[in-house]
Amino acid sequence: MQDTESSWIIEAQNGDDSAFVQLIEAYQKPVYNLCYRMLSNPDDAEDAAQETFLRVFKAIRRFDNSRPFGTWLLSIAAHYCIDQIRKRRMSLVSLEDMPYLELSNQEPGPEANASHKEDQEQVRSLLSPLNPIDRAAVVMYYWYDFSYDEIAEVLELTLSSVKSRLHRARRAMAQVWLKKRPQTLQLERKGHESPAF
Amino acid sequence: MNHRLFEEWLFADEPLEPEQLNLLHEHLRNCDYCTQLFEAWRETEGLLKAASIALPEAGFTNRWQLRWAAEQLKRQHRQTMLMLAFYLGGAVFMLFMLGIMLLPFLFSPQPIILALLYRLTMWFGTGEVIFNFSATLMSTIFGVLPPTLWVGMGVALASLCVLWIVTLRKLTSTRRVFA
Repeated sequence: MQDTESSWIIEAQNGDDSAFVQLIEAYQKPVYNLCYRMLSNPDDAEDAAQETFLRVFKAIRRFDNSRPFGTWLLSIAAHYCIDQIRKRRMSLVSLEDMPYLELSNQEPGPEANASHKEDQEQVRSLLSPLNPIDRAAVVMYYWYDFSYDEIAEVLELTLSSVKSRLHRARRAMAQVWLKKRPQTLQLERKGHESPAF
Repeated sequence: MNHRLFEEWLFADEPLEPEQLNLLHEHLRNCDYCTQLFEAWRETEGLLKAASIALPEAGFTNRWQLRWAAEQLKRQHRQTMLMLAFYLGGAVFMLFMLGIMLLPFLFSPQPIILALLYRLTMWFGTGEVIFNFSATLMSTIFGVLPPTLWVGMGVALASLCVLWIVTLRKLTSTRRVFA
C-alpha cells in the first residue's frame, strides 16, 4: 500500500491527474471527517475537503517525499478549517447559531438514525466551544490516534503547547457536559471557594 | 480547598504515580465538584471515542474533478483578461505618447499646414517637369523613325509576349513540377 501510494504521489508530482484521483479515493474519508468535526456542517465540510485536495494538487510538487503524505494532507486540511472558523468568527456568526444539518448516509433505520443524530449533535456541542486549534488537536487525538508529536508537527506547535491545549480542551468539554446534564450532575459549591470550582 | 492540582491529574494523559492516585481518590471522596467533573469527563471521552467517522456523500472524486476543471477554466479566463489588460494598457500608452507628439500641432497648426502645402507644391512641380520632358522625347522619336518600323517593332514585341506565356505554361505544368 505504501509503495502504491508513493508511486501515485510521484506520478501526481509529474502532472498525472489520474494518479491524484487515486490519492483522493484513498484519503477522502479522513480529510472529510476532519473537516466535518472542525466545521460541524456537512456542506462546509464538503467544501473544505474539496478545497484541501485542490490546494494539495497545486502544491504536490513541493511535497517532501520523505514525510508521511497523510500527515501533510491533514495539516493542510486542518489549517484551512482553522482559517474558515476564524473568518466565521470575524463575521460574528457563532457555531451555536448555525443550523445543524445531519449526514444523510450514515445509519439505516429511523431509530438508529435518531440515536446517531443525537450522538453527532452531542459531539458537535462539545467541540464547538473550543478554539479552532484546540478543536483540531482533539479531533486528531481522538479520531486519528495521532501522537502528541504528530499533532505538534501537523499544527506547527511545540509538544508542551499540544499537551496544554489538550488538557484545556478536556476540561472545557467536561464543563460543557456538566452544564448540559444539570439534572444528573448537580454542582455543590461551597461559599468560601472560587466560583471556578 | 485547592482543586487545581487535582484537575491537572484528572485531565492528564500520562499515568499517575501511586501516591498521586491515592491523593486523587481521597480528594474525589470528599469533593463533589471534582467527582462530577471526573464523571463528566469520562462520559465525554466515551462519547468522543465512540463517535463514528463522518463520510462524504458518494461521488466526492467526481465532484472534485468538476471543481478542478472549473478552476482551470477560471485560471484561463483570468490569464486571458490579464493579457487583454496588458494589450489595452499598451494601446493606451501608445495613444498617450501620440497625443504628446501631436500636442504642438493642436496648439499651433499653421507652420505644419504650410510645410505640407509647400511639399505638395514641390511634388506637383516635379511631376509637371517629368511630363513635359517625356512628351518632348516621344514627339522627337516619332518624327525620326518611319511608321513601318513601328509596326515591325510592335509585332516583334507581341511575338515575344506569346513566346513568354507559352514557355511559362509549359514550365509550370503539374507533370513537370511533381515529376
